[in-house]
Amino acid sequence: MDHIKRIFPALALIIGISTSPVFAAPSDAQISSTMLKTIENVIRPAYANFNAQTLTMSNIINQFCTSPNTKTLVNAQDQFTKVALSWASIELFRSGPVMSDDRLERVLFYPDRKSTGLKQVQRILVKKDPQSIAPETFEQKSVAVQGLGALEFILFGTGHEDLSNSEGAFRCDFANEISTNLAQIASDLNSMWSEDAAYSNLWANAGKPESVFINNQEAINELLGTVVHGLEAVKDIRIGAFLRNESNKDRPKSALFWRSENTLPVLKANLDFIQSLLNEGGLYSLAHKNSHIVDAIEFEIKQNKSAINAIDKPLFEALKDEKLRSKLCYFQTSLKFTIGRIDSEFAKDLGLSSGFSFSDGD
Amino acid sequence: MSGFELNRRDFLAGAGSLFLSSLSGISKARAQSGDAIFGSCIKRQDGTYGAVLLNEQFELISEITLPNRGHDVVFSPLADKAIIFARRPGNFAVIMDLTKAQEPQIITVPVNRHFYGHGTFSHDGKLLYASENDFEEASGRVGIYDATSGFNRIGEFDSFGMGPHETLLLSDNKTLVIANGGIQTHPDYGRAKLNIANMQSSITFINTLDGSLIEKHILPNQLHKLSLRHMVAIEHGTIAFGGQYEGAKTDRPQLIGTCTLGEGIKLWELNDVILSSFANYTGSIAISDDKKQIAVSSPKGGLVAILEAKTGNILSTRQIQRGNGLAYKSTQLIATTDNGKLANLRPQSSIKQFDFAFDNHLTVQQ
Repeated sequence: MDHIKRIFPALALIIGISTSPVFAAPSDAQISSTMLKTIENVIRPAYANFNAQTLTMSNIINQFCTSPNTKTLVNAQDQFTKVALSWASIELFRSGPVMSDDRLERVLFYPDRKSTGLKQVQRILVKKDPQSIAPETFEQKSVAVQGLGALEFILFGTGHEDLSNSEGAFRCDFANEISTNLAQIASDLNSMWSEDAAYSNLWANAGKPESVFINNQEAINELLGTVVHGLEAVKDIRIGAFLRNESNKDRPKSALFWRSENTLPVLKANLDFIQSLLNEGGLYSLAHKNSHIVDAIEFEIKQNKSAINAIDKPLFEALKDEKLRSKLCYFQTSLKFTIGRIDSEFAKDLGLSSGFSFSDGD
Repeated sequence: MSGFELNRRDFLAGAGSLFLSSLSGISKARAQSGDAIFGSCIKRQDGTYGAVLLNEQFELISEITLPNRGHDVVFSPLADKAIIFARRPGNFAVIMDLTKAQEPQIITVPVNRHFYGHGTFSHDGKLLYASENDFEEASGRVGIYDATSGFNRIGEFDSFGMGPHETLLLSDNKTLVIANGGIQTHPDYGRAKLNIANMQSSITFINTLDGSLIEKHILPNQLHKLSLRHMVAIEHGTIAFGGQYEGAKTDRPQLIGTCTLGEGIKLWELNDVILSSFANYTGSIAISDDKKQIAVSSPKGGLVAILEAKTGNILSTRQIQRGNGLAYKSTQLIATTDNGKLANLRPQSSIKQFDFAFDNHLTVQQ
């Protein structure tokens, strides 16, 4: 209230219009502590895992290209899945160094409505021009050919069988270059969030000259925004990409990672990340003491999880199975309730009266 | 007394049965005083969306419910209509006839189009230009609506950029200026921004007589993630704009500048302290009637900056948490916040608390 009085000195004289109760905002110390916990308990472990998985993948694919065979191809494919899941555990975190130098899009360019990336990848594979995958210029190439989307097509898409023999040498080199590129990006992200780097301190402590956030309100908006916009992205972009109102209009080939059958596992990992921000990251600890909002959100997430976990078949099969498809529809709908709880009720609990996402401009 | 004022008074008197009956405690006489009218979209505490008209004393003179979230309110130059545009990716606009007590009219865009929340009238009030998205082609459009014939959509032309946002008609009543935000969206993906890595914002000048491009100005490559959104006209051929930066939070790009026909874009050099306070985001921009001052808000930074229109020099700043909507009544600056406050900032004489949240923009009809 103090800051409001400072800005609007006459506020005390304002006509008494009834408004629904708004809780006091968390203190600066509480917010800083939550920001720090988020880094330590969520961001660093997730980027460390992504770093480790991409490094392993780079080694495996390098080895695979040296002695390609069916077994080493399977190893590479399995490791791709591990990388995809490790990325799914942090990709919704749209803050910090991942937002610089197009790192986010270079790791994964999605959605790609017009299949621009796929066409570019196919063109490179047809032309087999070594310059198009030259290490010294690769990171300047289109973001759509640098990351996981391109790599998935190479390892699982049409013609991937060639990887096991000499016909696929160029294709393998392409995969090798992408995995090296991904490992470098992951290493950079891991380093920039490390304890030794200055960035964490600037991110966790708002309001200082070099801080990322000008005040704690912006900081808490960033965290809550990650949760709300992350869930919206899962609902609208990831599920919305393939699930239509009528089953005969579904577009499973628009789904992320449909070739490697990782669409649904990635959705689960996305949801786990959101929950970890709320729990281990400490957002829940900011809730008003007597509030039931944490229980209410956890209830909604439990509904989300039970819906997605009930789908025990890959996406293509699930969409053809009426019961499983209805689970997917329910999963998408249930996310709306979770978003509503957080966007309106939790936001209000944190002192943001009109709902968090309302402050998003246009 | 001009016909303009008579029209407005006709509305205030004639609309009473529809609008005033639902407003308890509002003086009918004050609503009929013929003062300036402010318009804004709102969100109510029950989660529903609407739009309000307020008189000069900041009293509610009309409130309507919208099917979904609105964005900007545009008044006809004849003062007989207010248009409320849906926020992207909404496909409706609501037309309030200010001269008659009748239900608002709703218009919608054609299939494969949605509104971007803004529009502008021709100076004679006969045509309405609306920024729209041809989302299948990822191409900006300007829809043309006939205000003399039920707002039928009578045509469209290219905005020559992606994501057209605010539009302005220059004083020649012919040249339309469009701030193309440069961001690709598609309703299939909600409000997701699909092309941040290669987005490119622009200001385009378009001849409304034939839809041809007069000039297009883009930002330098290092600023390609600055999305130009809102504008005011300073003088013929020159507009001032405010942008929203989509790059890293640690970047501190300039956000405000001008674009002049024949010259192009010039960014105003704000110092680091002010720039940091904007948090890489401008919400609304307004210009005083004498064209000497420009006000720019940042709800993310909790700041309103007042700048000299000629030079871009900062004249003063005000901290307003969650303030976004701005409008000048003559040289008085009025601001709204998303926690329901409406304040006269110059001079700081009155603040009023409403039980709804004001949306992004505040418009004034004088």
